[in-house]
Amino acid sequence: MYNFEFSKPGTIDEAVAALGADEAQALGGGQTLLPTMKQRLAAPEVLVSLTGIDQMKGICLSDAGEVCIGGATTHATVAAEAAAHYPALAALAGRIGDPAVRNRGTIGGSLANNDPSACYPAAALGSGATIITNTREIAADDYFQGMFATALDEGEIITEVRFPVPEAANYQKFVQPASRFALVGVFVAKYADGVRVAVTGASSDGVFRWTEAEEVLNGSFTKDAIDALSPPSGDMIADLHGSAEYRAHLVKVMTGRAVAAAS
Amino acid sequence: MTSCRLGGFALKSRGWASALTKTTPLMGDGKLLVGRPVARREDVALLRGEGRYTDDLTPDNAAHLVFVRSPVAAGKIVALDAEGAREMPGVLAVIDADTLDVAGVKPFPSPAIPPHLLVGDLHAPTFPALARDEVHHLGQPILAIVAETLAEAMDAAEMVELEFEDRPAITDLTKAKTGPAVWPTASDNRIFRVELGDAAATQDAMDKAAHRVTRRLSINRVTAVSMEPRGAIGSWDAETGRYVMTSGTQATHRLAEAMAAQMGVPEGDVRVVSENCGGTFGMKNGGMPEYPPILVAARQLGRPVRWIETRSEAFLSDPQAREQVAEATLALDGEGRFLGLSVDVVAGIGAYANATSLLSSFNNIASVTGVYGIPAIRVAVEGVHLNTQTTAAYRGAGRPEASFIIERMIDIAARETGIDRVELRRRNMLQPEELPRKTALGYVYDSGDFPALFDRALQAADWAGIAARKQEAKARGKLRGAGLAYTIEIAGGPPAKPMPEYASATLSPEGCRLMLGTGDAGQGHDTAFAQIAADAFGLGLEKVSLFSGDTGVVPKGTGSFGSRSLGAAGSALVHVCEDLIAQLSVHAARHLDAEAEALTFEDGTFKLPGTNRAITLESLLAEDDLTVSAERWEGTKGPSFPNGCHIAEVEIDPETGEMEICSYTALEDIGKVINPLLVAGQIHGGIVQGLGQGMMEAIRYDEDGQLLTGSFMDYAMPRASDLPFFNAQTASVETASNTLGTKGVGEAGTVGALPVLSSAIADALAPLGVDHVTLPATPSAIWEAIQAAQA
Repeated sequence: MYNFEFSKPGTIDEAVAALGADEAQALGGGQTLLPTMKQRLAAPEVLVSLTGIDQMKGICLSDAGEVCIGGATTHATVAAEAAAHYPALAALAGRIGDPAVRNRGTIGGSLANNDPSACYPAAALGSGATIITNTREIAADDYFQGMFATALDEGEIITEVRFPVPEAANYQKFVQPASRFALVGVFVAKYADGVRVAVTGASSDGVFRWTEAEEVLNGSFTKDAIDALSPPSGDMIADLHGSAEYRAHLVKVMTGRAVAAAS
Repeated sequence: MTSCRLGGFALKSRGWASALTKTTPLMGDGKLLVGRPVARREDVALLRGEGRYTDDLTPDNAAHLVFVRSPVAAGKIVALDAEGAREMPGVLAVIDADTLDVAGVKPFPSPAIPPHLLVGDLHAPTFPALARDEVHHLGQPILAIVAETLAEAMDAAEMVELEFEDRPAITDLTKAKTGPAVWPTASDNRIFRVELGDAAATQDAMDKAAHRVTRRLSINRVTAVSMEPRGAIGSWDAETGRYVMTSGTQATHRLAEAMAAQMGVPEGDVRVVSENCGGTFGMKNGGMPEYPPILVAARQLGRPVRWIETRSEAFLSDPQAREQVAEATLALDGEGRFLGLSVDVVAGIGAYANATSLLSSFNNIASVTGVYGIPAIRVAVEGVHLNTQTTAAYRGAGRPEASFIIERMIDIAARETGIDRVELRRRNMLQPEELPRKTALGYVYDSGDFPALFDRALQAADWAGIAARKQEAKARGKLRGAGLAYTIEIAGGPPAKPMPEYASATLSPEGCRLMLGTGDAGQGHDTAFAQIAADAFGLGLEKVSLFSGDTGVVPKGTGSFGSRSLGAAGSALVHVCEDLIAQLSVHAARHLDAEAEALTFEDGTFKLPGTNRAITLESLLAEDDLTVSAERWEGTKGPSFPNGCHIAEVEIDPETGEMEICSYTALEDIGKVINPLLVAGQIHGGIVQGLGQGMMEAIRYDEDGQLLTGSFMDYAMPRASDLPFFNAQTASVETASNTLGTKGVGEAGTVGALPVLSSAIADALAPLGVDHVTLPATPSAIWEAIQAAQA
């Protein structure tokens, strides 16, 4: 790890100001950034911790019934406190990493990093969540822009994420044996206006919606409905943990299981 | 007065005779410590974080060393400029190959192969600790940078300018023969060829066989992943003119000897100190390229120099293990009796070969005979160079590989001949009355009751109930399979003349102090050996202390490997105890006004039979203020052959390839058990190491020699949640090949686990036409195997 300046502001405004410095980097729970820095693969000059900002922590329900989660809320908190309102989301949070990761890692940090194998992007995209930043609101459909790429501007902070609560939902995660990240993760959510199917882990473009599956599930929200579909095409990741064909196959299997579990 | 008679005294103490010669249950007779599940004494400190591992021993004034390693797998160094590094703040020294030369450091020697086994030439070039001109594997150390702080050393290392002319690399052992040559002097990349057994007799067997079953079986390359990474603190003792190297190892004397040769100093002038060692599995028992630069720097600077590898560095620089492809043919007659076995192994070694690199691939391959009477066997092993880290000894060191071959071949033969795999094993298993028996590859199995143990294991695992469990799983959409392996391995070898071990004991009014030449790496030596001495002298466990792991204090030693410590050091210790009782009997005789020869020694007390005259050993030591010592440096009569049956059941989700290990039974004949808790620990840990390799662990390089599994993000380690509870038991038949009667337990778990998992997976997938899944059997590999079979 290289030397860096560290600040831990108490408000969003102070954090935004601090992130204006050259080579400044926001720090959520640090579950990706700190190991990267320890390996000297990242060298921010200034680290601005967002974990001291109380207004970015916690979970509440909006008047519209959305589950609103502060950007600096840990996975463990989501797992515990969202369970009554959005069980599928809470269950997803409760299976990220291990207890140490869940007690440090934050939803804002995960979404800002947009790791192609992370779980939260599937929940956000699959729920049609709204990513709220210090400057604007971004629909999940516009937010994810490929592996490790998002709509966030330099210095922009995810202050909150709003999840509309579906009629039914489920997340199926098939883990990569080493990292235990999602080799393939599928989040299925059924809303009054349609079904959303979001896939993480599988594509080199990062999280994506499997629209063919959504269409048939809109007709019939049953596991059997997707039987006739081919696995999704597209740029599936092929690596030592699985071929592109295997990942595509798993997408279909996990989608079916998520539907079965949700319906 | 012969030691033999006095041995009689010792053997009478607290019922030793029966403990030593009879098969005993896991619990002792209620009085003895030996045989009891005594809790590990060392854990109090270790669990409190008070262990003294290498990094804990770093002196305050230590300088810090880091290595600049090769970022390419094969290439010529065309430019190396370290000036920028030298000028960085805090830098104390930059050490390169020339620095080592000037300091008198020798290259790593070529390992030897017994000439009677070797066919053709041995090609194992010597190599320098730091690369000069050329690099041959990723992570090869090129420079050592020493600075006041670790951060300064790391900063300086980044200022080194290096340029390479890349060369094509070879990392796939199946293409080694025709691929790019690692060395210009070996165009086919062959390091050695070893042949064993009787080729003509095997050919005869093949010719007259009713069935010949041939398979290609590959075993994956893995790395040890010790919890304590490798490291060393070097210092120079100006007064004695000796190097001191503090480094966790299982074999201080071996390491010291290797390092002395390498540093170009007389034996004894490198003192090696290892207090606690956090896992080695063979990996830390020899010299490695990192050590000479540390010692040279320490001498140059006149202060201690510390290097502790990072986990990333461990994946690059620790010796790896196991990688091989075997082509095997098992010949059977019409009734399923094994007639012959032919095995050709190609073992992927690495660019270089260290002292244990080559041995693992052939030295223990006689395990391939299994517990069966295979009359004719031939084996050929070729080791090949690859542009990879070298392989070396790793828990089992060839035993799991050999057992994997025979046990897999039997399962496959059972399927091809239609003979039930339990029946096929029974038909070929050596009967107790056939022992001792010299196998076709030369091992002499001295004791055991394989059929009885086999039956007990099948019962313990409810083998008969498997069909019902398969049905029940099928109803849930799962494929259930049961795996079976009966394995046997050599412990405490080599066969002809087991290596000696050192043991000493000093008795004084304060208690008993033991010294051993073999080192602990987590096994529980401090508990097990103290149990033996406490029983011998009738002392409380708290009165016995154990010292090992310092070549400056312990006069001699071999080390802890090959499941040998208890047999070798334990037996030597028993003899030491007998020697001391003999010495003390002379003193006791004076107190009791008797002849020493007339005394007995029981329950820690010398007695004159027929009288009420007696004195306890403790009183004798106190009253006479006596301090007596004895030592032994001796080998056992012969090696021993721990053997056991492992049975595992798995369930596979055919849709995804996901596998769950549902149950695991291991029944081991490990001879006399000193401490069943420690035995369970060894078996459990060994099983996990085998299962880890079987289901997920794999070192993988890409074709350019870059490491694809360089961190825990990609190198999969088994976790508790991946495993069932183990039903591990012992069913011991004591061996007469050492005084204790113990057979060794360090490797047994791993040896059985590797084949049993593959067996279970193949059984589960039998309905889909799959008879083998290449290791490691990840969900992806299982799914691919199903696709291939269905295609």
